[in-house]
Amino acid sequence: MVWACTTEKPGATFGTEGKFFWTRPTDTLPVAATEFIDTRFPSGVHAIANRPSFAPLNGDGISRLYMAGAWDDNLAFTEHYRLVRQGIIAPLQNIVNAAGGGLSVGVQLVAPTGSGVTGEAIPYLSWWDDLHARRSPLSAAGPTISATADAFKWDNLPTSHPSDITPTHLEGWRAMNGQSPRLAWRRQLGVLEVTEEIATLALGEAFPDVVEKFPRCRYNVMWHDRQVLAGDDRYPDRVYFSLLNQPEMYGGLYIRTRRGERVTALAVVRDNLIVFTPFSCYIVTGYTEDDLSMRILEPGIGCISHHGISLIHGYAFVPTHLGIYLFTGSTFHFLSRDFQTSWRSSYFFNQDKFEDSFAANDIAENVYRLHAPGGGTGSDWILDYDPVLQEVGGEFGAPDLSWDQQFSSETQSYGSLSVPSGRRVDLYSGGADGIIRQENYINLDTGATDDDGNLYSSTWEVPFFYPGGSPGGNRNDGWKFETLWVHMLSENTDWFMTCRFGESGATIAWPSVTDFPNGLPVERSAKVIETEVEDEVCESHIQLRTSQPQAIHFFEPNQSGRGMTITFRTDNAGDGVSWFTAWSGWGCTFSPGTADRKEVVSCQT
Amino acid sequence: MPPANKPNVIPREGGSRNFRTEMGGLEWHGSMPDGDPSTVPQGRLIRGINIRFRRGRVVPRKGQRRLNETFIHAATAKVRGIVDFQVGTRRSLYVTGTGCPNLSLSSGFYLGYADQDLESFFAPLVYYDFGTQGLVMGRFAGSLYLGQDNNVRKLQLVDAPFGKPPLAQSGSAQDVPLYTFTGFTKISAMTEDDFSGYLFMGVDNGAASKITVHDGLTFIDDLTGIRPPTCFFKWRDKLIAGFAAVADHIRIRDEGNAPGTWTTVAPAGSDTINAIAGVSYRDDGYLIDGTTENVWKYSGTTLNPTHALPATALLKDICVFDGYLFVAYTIGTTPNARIARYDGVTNTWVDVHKDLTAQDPLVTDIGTLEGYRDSLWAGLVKGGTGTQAYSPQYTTSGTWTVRAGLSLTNISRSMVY
Repeated sequence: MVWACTTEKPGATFGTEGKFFWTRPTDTLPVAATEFIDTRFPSGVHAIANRPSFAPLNGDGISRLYMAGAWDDNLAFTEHYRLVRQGIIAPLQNIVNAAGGGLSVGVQLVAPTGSGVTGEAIPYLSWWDDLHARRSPLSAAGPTISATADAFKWDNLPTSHPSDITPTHLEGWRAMNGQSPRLAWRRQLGVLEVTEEIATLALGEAFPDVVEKFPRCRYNVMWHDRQVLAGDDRYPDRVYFSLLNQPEMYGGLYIRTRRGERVTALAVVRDNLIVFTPFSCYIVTGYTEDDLSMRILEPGIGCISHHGISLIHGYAFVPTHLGIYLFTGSTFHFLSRDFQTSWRSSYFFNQDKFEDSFAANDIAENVYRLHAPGGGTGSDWILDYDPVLQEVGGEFGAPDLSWDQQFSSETQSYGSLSVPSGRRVDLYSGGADGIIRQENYINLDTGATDDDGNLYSSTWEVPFFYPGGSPGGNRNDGWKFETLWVHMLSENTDWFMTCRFGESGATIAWPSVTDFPNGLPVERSAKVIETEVEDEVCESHIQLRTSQPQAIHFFEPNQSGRGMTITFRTDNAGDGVSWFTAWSGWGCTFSPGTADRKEVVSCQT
Repeated sequence: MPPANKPNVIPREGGSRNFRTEMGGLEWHGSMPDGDPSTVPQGRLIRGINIRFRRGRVVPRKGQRRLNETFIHAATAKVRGIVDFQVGTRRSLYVTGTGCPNLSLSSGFYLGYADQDLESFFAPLVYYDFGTQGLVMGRFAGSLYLGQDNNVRKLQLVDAPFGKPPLAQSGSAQDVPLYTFTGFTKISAMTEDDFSGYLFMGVDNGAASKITVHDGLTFIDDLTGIRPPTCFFKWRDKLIAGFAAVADHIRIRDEGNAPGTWTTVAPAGSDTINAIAGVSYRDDGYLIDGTTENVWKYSGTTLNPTHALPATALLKDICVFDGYLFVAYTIGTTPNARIARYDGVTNTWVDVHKDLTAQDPLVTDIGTLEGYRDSLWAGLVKGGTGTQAYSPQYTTSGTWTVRAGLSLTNISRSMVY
C-alpha cells in the first residue's frame, strides 16, 4: 500500500491552496520530500480549509479511497493512483433529430446496410471511463425517432469531456418502444460519427438507474456496500446514500434528521450506521431502500467532531459536548465522570478547536488521543483505555486521563499506517510545517525516544497526603515528614521531584524541597532501608529492592506540615539520548510535628 | 483501588507512622482534574502531562521522528489528513525479459513485477531457467497466463511475506501447465478479448501457424494456416492481429464464438507492414512497424502509414497514457532510446518527446513502454543490463527516474494486471 496525505496553506493572495500527495514508504525513514508525489487534481477542483474525510472501499478489482470535505467536490483516489471526481457529469449536448452542429448531437435515420431497426427510439449519450470502469449519468433524452427498417446515424459527437479528463469513451443508448435505455455502442473519444443498426433485442445492457453526482459533503463512510455522505452545507440535515454496490452513484436516496438538526458526524459501529448531530444521535439499520430505517438512539448525546471519533476494540470513543462517551453499538457509556467539568470548561474556552478536533487510536500506547486543548497546557486529551476494556463478564472502567503537550509544530492530523506488505500499524501525525512524524518513536539501539529535536518534560502530581487527625499547631507543623522514598526505575535518566508540605490552596505559602536530581544514590537508599529491616513495612521494600534494586530512592526531608504532595518531572534529554523512567509510587514516614498536639486518633481526616 | 489513604497508613513505634503507595500497594491511574485536589484519592493523579500508564506505573510519553526530513508543499503547509491506501485486488506492472536478476544475465527468462503496494517495488517473480523462445503474457478470467515456448501456463500468484524476496519464496515454478502445442515452436502473442470471452493465442509454426482460443475449459483453433501473429489488440468491439512483413496485412475479428470470422486488411498503398505492436487510440488502430520508421493507422476502412519517425529509427513499443499515444524507439549508433508522443486532439507528433539517453548516456535501448498508475514506465538497457525507468507522473518529458542495471539482459514486454 501507499500512504496519502492532504495539505493546505493560505493561497498566494487569498483563499486556500491544497495538495494531495502519495508516497511509497519503507521502514527506512526519513523519506525524501521528492518521494511524495504531488498528485494532479481533476480539472477545476479547489481545496478548501477543511479537514478531509476518508472512506476506503475495496471491491472486485477496484480499490478506492473516497474523500469528502477538503475540496469543493467529492473526490476519489483510485487503484491507479489518480485523483478523480466522484461521479462524472453527464454529456451536456442537446440531441436533435437532424444533422448535428454546434452543441447539438444529431441522430438521423439513414439507409441500413442490413435489415435495419423498426420502432420508436429515444437516444441518449453517456461518458465512460475505461480505466476505472465508471460511467456518467445519461444525457438529456433526445427526441423520439420513429424508425422503419432504418439505421441510426449519430454525428457531431463530442470528442472530450468539458471538465473531466477521466472519460475515455462515449456511449450511445437507445430506449426502444418505451423500454429502458440500452447500450447501442461505445467508442473511444475522438470518434465524430457513428452509424449503427443494432436490432432492438440485440442491444446491450440496460442503463441501471437514474443517477447523478452527490452534492459536495463534509463527511463520508462506507456502510452496507454504500457510500454514505453528510455535511451538505445546503442541506445539513441530510444523509445521502449511494446506490448499492455503486458508491459513487447517487440515486436520490437520502434521509433527514427528525428535528432538522445538522449532521456533525457519521460512524459505523458494529454494522450500524450512527448519525450524530450536535446534541443527539440516530441509528440507521437496514440494507436496501425497502428496509432502511432511522430511529433516535440518544436524544441528548451528540458529537462535536466527526474526526474525533475513533474505533477502539470495536467500540467508538465519541467526543460530545458533555465529555467523551464510549459507544458499544447499542448503548453509550460516559467515560468522563472524573473530568467532565474540565472538559466542558476547555470546550467553552476553545470551541473552535474542539469542534475541529481529531483523534487516533494509538495502539502502541493503548490510548485514545484527541487533539483539543486541556489540562492547562495540554494539546491532546489522552485516555488510556486499558481500564476501559472489559474483563471477562465485567464492566467498563474509567479511562486513565492525562494530557500531551504540543511539540514544536502543532499537530494537524493523525493517521495509522503500515508499510507495504506489512501488517504492523504505527501512528503518524501531520504538522503545520509540512512534516509528517512518526509517534511513539524509540530507537532500539540507543534507547532514545525522540529524533526530532523535541525537548519536553513529563510531569505528574500525586494527590495530597493528609495523615489526618488533629495534631494541633499551625497548618505547617501538624506532622513532621521524616523520610521519603520513591520507586522510580530511572537507569541513565535524571528525574526531579518537588515536595510540598502543608495544606492545599494556592494562597498558602508552602515550605518545599525541590529538585532532587536523580534522587540520591541507590546505595544510600538501600543502606537506609536495610537498617530498618526489623520494620515489617520496610521488609516489603527490601523485597522490592531485591527484584529491582534501582527502583528505590530514599530521602530525608524532615519537613513539617499538615500534609504533603509531590510533583515529579523527567526531561527528555534530546536526540539520540536514552530516556527511561518508570514510576510506581512513593512512601514516607511521619510523626507528630513540632507543636504540642494531642494523640492521633485517626489516620484520616 | 483501595480507599483514600486509610489502608496505607501504618502505625510505627514511637508515634511515627508509615505511609506507602508504591509497588504492592496501589496501581496508579489517571488524572482527576475536577474539584478540590485534596479530595483526589491516592492512586489517582491530580494531573499528568506527557505521561503514559503501564499497568499502574507512570512512564514518559515517547517522542517523534520525521517521516519526511524536509517539508512537503510548503513550510507553512498543514498536513490535514493522513491515510494509508489499501489496494485490495493486486494491480502490478508485470514484465518479462531475458535472464534473471542476480541469477543469470542471459540464460532463461524471467517474469517480474513492479508494484508500489509491495515491499519490493521491483522484483523477479518466476524464473524459467530453460527454454529458448522467451515469455509472452496475457490476462484471462482473473488470472495471468504465460506462453513459455510452446507451453501455456497459468500463473499461481504467490506473494512473498514481509521482508522476503519473492523469488526465494517460490519462483522456480509457480504455475499450472495447461497445454503444449506440440509441433509448434512458440506462442507468439497472447491477449484476452472480453467481447468474445476468450484468451487468444498466436501459435508459431511458420507458414502453418494458427490462432487458438481458450475459454477456460477447452482450446479451440480459431484460424489456421496463417503466419504467426506478432501482436493482438482490441479495437472497438473487435480484435486486431498484426503480422510480420511476409504476411503484409493485419486481420480483424468480429466478436463471437470460435471459430470466428477474420477479415484481412492489407495496406492501401505500396508500403509493406511489419507489425510488432498495436493499440487503439481515439477510435483508430495504431501499429508500429518493426522494419521501417512507420507508425500505421487503421481507421476502420484503410490501413496506411500515418507518421514516419526519423530515419533509421527502430520502433520498439507503443502505448496510450494520459490521453496521448507514445512510441518507444531507438535511433543512431549509440543508440539513443527515445519516446515520441502523438496528441490526437491537436493531431501533433513530437518525435523526440523524451530522449532517455540524453538524460542518462548509459541508456542504450528501450524494450517496452507502458502506462502504469500515474507514470509512463519503460524497460531499458542501461550499461549493458536491463533496468526500469519511469516518468515524473504525467510530465512524461521531464526527468525520469532511471534505476541501476539489474543484472539481466533486458526487459522486453510489459503489461498491467
